[in-house]
Amino acid sequence: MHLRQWQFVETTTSGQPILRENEKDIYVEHQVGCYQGKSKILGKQKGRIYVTSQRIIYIDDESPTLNSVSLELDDVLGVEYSSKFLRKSARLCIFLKDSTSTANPGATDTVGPSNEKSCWTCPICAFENKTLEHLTQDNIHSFPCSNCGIAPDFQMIEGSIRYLENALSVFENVEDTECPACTFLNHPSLRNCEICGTRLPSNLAGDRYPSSTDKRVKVELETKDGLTKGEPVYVQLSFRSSDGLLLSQTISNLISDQRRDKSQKVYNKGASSINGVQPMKNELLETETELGRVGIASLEKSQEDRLINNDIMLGNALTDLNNLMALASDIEKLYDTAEQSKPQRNAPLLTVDREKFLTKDLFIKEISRELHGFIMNEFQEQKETEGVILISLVDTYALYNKTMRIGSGLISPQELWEACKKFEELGLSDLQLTTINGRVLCISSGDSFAFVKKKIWNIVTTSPGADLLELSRQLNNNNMNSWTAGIIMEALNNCVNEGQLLIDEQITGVHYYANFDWRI
Amino acid sequence: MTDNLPPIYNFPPLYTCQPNVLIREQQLTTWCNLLLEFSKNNKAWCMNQDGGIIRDAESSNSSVFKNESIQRTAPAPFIDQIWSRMVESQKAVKVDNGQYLMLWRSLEHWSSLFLQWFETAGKLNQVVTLYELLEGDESLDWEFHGMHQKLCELCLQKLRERGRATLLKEQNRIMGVKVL
Repeated sequence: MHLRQWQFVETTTSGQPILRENEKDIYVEHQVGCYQGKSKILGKQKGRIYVTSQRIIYIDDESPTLNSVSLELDDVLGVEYSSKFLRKSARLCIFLKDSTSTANPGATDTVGPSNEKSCWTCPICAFENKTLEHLTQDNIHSFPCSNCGIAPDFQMIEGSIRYLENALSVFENVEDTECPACTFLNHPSLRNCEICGTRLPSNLAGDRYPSSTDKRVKVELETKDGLTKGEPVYVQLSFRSSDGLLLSQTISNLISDQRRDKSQKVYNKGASSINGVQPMKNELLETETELGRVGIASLEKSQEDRLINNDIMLGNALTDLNNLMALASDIEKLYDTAEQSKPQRNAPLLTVDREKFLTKDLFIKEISRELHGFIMNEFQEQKETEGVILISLVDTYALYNKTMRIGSGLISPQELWEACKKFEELGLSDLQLTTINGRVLCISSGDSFAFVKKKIWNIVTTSPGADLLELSRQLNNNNMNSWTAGIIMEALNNCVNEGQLLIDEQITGVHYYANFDWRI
Repeated sequence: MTDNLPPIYNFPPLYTCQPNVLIREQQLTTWCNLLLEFSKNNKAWCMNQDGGIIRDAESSNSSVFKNESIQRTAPAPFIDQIWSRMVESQKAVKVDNGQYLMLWRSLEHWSSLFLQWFETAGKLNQVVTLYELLEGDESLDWEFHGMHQKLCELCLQKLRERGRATLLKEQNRIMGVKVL
């Protein structure tokens, strides 16, 4: 039985976690093992830990797609670091929030207004009114007839009151979870916003689907974890090669940051309600309900609504101003603290940053993984249609640096070359580094060079006299694939040198012909 | 003039010097055969460097190295290579002022043909002028009729080396021959 807090994490084939929208990775630690309670977790003893702005992700070195798990930072209560002692390696104890105590206090708010809808007929004008409240003798005066504007006597309408409870309660059941950041309505079983990646208030999902644990998470323990009900639940990370101090600092910083963020949000909410008006969801909804309104009463009501709206708007504006001021003072505070403790405050934000890696080797390995993922992604279409990939290292260098490395420091050709050589060592066997024509380094999958040559041969036999332009047009089949001109040129040179093709050199360019007459 | 050549004459890569050495060897061989075929078809005994036929000390402008129908011309350095191959493989003899005598038959073959003529025409032990031999009515049906004089001289030299012919010279030019 594994803890609810373990989550499945999606990874690329090259063993990098797929981050959510808005999620940033902050720190990477190598050679880490996972424990649940006191027991080792089988199959999760050698891997990397990625700390991101939302999660702590464990990626297994051997089978990254199967054995990788993550913990939400939201679930983390606190961390405790214990340093290396004799044979015991350094550990980080992560205390998790209990699943029952995670219920959001705001939950009751969202349940909202009484989910009743009542219908009654005005005894004066016989107009059929609809209200959202349960009508009683006491509150009837606050619901005047929306047509004639006169509140009736409760006894007079008692007979005509009908309640339409079902309509609303059904609506309540299918209600989606609104994202607190972008207001997108997410499916109730989602835990993070589909659009912006913000953590959703998890109470409803947890309560309603208590049994929906993710089957993809595989946690098998070596011995009993020694966790008892009522006591704090914890998992441990054991650092096999480093002391892990940096990681634990990063995590504890993150957690405290997150707490501050949360308290800030509450503060903002408070500010909006201080201004007299309460821009509660329910009230806003009411102005837009479909309840029929006619006559003078409706005019008055709409005027009232407009006033309220204006009030809300003004209130919001003031709140925004307040927020801005709060932010400014926050920044000021941050600036002050940064001045005091400069070395602590350099939080790298982008993916594979040099500073995150203790040795050059680890950095190169990470580059290698990223490069593999990048190429597989970039040339996916070609891989699907043709089955092979062949890109010269020069093209790769330009592509990779341009798309992935701007902002996080370009890599040098030497580093790229070393990263490519690591493919095999890291088990990324789809791609390998090959040398064609004895001088041009390429990244290829399978025997792609022979494949290209065969394709070229086919084209040249069907249309003799094709030049480079024509060949690359036909090979790429109207932009379906991405064989670069450099690669085609190399393949052509190879064919010519091996005597398969003949050249016809003109001012307009070199035309290629299949060699049938002059056998070697 | 080039109508009767094999189809490879209209193959564009023929006019580009192929980078692969092994292929180029065969390409040069193809060119040599083409040139011989061309000269045989056109009775071109003598050609200049550019591939034009020389008749009566006048060279024609059209060149075998220039294919009008596919608009291809062999570049000059490549033509040099072809000619040197021709000379090397004894399919042509270079004479002064950049002219080549074409040997679609070897010198030996020609000389034995001459000998045959002398025998059938009953001209043994007689002095025959070169004009009589090459332009006379009696050799009209023979393949060497109209042969370039220089080429003929070379063939007769061969006969002399075999001890079958005596050459009569006048002002350093061979005028007649006596075959024994």
